[in-house]
Amino acid sequence: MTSKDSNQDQELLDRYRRASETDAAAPSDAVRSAILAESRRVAEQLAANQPAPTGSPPSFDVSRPAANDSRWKITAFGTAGAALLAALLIAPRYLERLPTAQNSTVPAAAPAEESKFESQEAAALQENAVPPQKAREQPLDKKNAQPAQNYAAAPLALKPAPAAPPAPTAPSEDSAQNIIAGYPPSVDRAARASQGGALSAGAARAARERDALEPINLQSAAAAGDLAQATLLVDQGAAVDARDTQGRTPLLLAVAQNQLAVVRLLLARGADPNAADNAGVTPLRLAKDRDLRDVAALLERAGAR
Amino acid sequence: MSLSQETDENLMLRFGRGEAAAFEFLYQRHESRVFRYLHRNVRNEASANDLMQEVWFAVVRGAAKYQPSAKFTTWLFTIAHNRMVDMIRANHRLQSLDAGDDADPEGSSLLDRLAVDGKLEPPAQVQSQHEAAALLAAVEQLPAEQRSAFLMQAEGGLSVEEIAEATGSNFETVKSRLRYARAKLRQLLWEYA
Repeated sequence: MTSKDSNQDQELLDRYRRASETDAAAPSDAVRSAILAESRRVAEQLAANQPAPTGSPPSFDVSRPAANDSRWKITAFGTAGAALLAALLIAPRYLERLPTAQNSTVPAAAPAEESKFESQEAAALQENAVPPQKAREQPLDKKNAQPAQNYAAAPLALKPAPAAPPAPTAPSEDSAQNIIAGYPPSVDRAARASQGGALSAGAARAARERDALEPINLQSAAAAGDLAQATLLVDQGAAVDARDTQGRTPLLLAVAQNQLAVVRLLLARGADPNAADNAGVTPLRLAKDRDLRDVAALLERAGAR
Repeated sequence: MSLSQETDENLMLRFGRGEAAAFEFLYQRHESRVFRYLHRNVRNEASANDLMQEVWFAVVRGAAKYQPSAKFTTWLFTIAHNRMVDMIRANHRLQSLDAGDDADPEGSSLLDRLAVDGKLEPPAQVQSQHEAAALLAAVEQLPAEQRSAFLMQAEGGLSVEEIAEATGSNFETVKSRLRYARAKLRQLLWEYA
């Protein structure tokens, strides 16, 4: 076939197509409608038979839990795991607040470190032998050193304490105050140390760690003036005349801290108003020496001598 | 992509997924050409309408299994050709579509003779000086298989290979039919122009 023939063929086709476009021949409306109606009917069937799109996850059929067993398990175990984790994180915060036991007769985990620390403080105070205020201002003066009780300031030193090794460093105002106050609960000590007290950062951290681990007993509650805690411990059967290693009763510690409410509680619950510590210091003597008139009056009404 | 921009094959695939609108686009695109192919072959409007419905019903019902392995128009005109042959056979107007297929490249088979029997004289409109009418009338005067091949090419845009596939004929036979058809059309146009 030559190019001329090809061109003539194409011209013929073009002429035919132009002519065909003028032809009004068309299927009847009925046929057209029937075809389109059939197409819609088939399209509905085809659409109904289409599988679910693979990209989207199948719907969650809650009416058939067994069919969704794996997802139920994930949900259930996930929730339980989250709850357990939350419990493990929160529980220790509540546990450490619970009363340890009814062994308030035992001093609250007085570790050797604290005993050593206390003895050092006491020794330093003994060497000071100055009034509390002066002791705070003038930390160390061996010439004026006087024996002192653990919870008593120099004026309260009723008799000389056993010789103690000299303090390696001069006690600060805060530590001296602690000594004069008669071993207040260490709860305060850590806080004071963190506010710039004499304790070094390491000592403060150690104190905080110790305080966090130290169980609360009646002695510490009494000294801290924690009436609610003291009431709880007494209600649970804690011995009201429990003594620590220095023979101090909760009443003595409460008097030393001028905790009038706790003193009233202890006396009401049968605490011995005349129970003296190992050094022979009685609550009434302590109150009078510190000029705690309300406490002294309360003690006297309870029979203190 | 909008439906109007989709290829025939993609429209069929979308219809196979249940989009009725895709089929409507496809139908509108090929309605006239298919109908003209049928109408000019059978030269009877009622028969053409029947065939038209059968052809498109076959397309619709075959959509679920449609695979675009070939041009949609090839498939469409294959269906149209086969339905047309079936109708002729059913009307006892055909003893063998392929009789003399290879023996007579001009397509003067029994189908040809039966289908156009008594209608070989030029119709009145052929006398018209109007070129379009003359050309269309000339097409109708072609032998059936030549006409079918020519209409597949002219209306459906099918190639020789595609026509051979659609009609079940070999390539050279289709090529000969087309050549004879064009020659006769030129002669008729010259005579009635």
